[in-house]
Amino acid sequence: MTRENSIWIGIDVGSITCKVLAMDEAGACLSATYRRTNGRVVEAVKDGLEEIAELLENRPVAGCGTTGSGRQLVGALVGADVVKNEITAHTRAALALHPDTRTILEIGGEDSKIVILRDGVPVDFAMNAVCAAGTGAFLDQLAGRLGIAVTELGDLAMASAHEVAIAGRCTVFAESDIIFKQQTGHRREDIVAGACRALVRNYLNDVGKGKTIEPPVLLLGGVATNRGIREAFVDALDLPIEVPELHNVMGAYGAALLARAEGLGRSGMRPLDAIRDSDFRSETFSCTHCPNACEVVRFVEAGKTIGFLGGRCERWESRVRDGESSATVPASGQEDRRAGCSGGRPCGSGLFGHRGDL
Amino acid sequence: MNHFTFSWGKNYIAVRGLLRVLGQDLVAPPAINTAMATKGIETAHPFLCFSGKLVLGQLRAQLEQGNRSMVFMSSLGPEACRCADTSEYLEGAFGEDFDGFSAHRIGGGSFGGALANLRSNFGPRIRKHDCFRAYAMFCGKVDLLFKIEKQCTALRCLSSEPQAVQALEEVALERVDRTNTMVGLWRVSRWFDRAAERLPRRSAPPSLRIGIVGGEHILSELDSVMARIKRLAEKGIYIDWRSGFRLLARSTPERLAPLKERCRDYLHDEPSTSEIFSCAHALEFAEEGYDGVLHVYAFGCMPQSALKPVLQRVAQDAGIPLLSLSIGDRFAEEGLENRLEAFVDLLTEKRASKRRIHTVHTAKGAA
Repeated sequence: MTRENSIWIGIDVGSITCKVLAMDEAGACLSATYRRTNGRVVEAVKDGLEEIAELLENRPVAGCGTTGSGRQLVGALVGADVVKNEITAHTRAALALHPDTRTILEIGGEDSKIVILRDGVPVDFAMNAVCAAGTGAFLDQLAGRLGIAVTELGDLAMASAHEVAIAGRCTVFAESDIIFKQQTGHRREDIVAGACRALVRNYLNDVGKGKTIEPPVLLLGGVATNRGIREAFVDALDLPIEVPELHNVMGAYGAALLARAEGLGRSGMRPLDAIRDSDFRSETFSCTHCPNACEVVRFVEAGKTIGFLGGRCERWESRVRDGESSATVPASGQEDRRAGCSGGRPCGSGLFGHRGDL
Repeated sequence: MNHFTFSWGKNYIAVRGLLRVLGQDLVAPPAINTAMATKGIETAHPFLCFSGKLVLGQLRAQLEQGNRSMVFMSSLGPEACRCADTSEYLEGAFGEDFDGFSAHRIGGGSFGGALANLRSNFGPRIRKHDCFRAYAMFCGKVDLLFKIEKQCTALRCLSSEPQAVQALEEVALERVDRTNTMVGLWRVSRWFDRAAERLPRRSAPPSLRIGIVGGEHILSELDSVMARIKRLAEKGIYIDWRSGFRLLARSTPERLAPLKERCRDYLHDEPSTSEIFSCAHALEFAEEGYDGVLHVYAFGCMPQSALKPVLQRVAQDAGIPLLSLSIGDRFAEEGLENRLEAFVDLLTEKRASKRRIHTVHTAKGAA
């Protein structure tokens, strides 16, 4: 049972940007912030929460969800109730706002995805694999090369009258091609328009390969702001493309919806003061317990370990989950070799000297 | 003499069984860890698949420990893998760095070929009878290892005590390794069946059923994948796969023919065994009502990369969700976790929607 005026918080921490959103019980977005992390994730989240401080301090928080590649870290920082991958979060948000959606195209800072939905149910998805050419990173690179802000690219592309072809298969090759096109005297707007088309071509040939793209099609992610990209999608697919108002914070909105769906009533999210004053940091160590030598990330606050991430067994995560006091969790460089993996299960002690887990 | 080999999961136990029949032995290969993977990536030709790179790293680690006589099993014929038959390549990769290094390829496309290989490696006095016994032991152990691994993964979902499953798996593998007769293997198999049957079961049915196809051996290579698969099983997801150690145990044309026929709409010309198994099993999983198919393969594995669009078509025609995961040094673990989690969410949502539709139909029927 949620209290009157309750709000739900969604936080989406991607590779380039951090999105924070507050939602009411009816699912209406009360406030949303979007900022670049500039490599300082914790600070970006704190700043994002500061922007909605008034809401956080005056209304009870009924649930908090985190998503994006930094979801685990931020989940530990804010005490999230739900930590979910961004594909699920975006799908949830898209279906809430546009229940008849059949295709979601999402282009983030360094990854991109496609989700195919039929009758309101996700039936297929794909993400970019080993290359960031069809992502926002490509546009960042382009803006840097042309000496303009990435936000100016869209309008510039729309001003093009004689678009040039850009090799967009790889960001590095694209840059070489852009240099060549600059040196052969092509106008900036024509190069930008060609690059937008190259990004879309790359996206459809990589992420969208083999997928049946049917309307209604939603375009999400920060890149959807770029009109040049939108137009390139419309041309390539010969379909109308919808860009929802919340397109760049849909992950955060989805995380808030997922938190609401948990129906907890009372959130485990920490008070803003505690987050604000937190000296939260992460450390990395190599677990020496078995030959896997996992690189484990430890989240530390006020000298206490509050969470772990990255082990292939549950050896470290289970300690915090099971409420072991921080005193029993070894400090950095003092990894405990005695206890077993996964709650006492022998791990890698080596059947025949070999790892215990296949 | 103690030889050394590479190992996909526990398959070295089968190679060791073969060697013991011939009076030889094998040291247990060390688990592949990040350092070994890095060395393998540095040593290998870039075009070698990720599995091949891991194997090279593991072999190099053993050479650095002083081992010199390497034995490796590879088959020829339809199962031949460009990365599995690498004796000459290995000589080139390691020969200069390690004095006395020798690579002995065993196995072969026929009994005669296998016998000739054994004789050239371990002496001309090896009789046909010895060769037969050695390969019978090898095949018996391959089959039993596959059965144990597969059933224990399923039991992690079906049993209420996953830790007991883990213990059973370890004891069973140890018993297989200790056994040196075919009758002994049969007894271990019977003991395993009974022990598995006695494990307490969960009352709830599996929340999802996922079938795995592709280069399943990659699952056993780096714990990162298999550990995650096992975690899914422990959360109540039934995990199934139907072929293992394919590169080691030769499939007869008789066994392949019906599978090939089943895939005739999707595979043309002369598909490899790996492609036939993957495609046929994906179709089987769809027919049997599995919730999804997970296609795993080593980054750089050409046959499996080429199979990806074929499986997409199979999945589309059969209406079963498919996730292709290429496992390799260019694929961050976070990405792996993300995709698996999203895939499970998708399957869960799909199953829930089916249930909703069924409920609506039932309600209409009642009305």
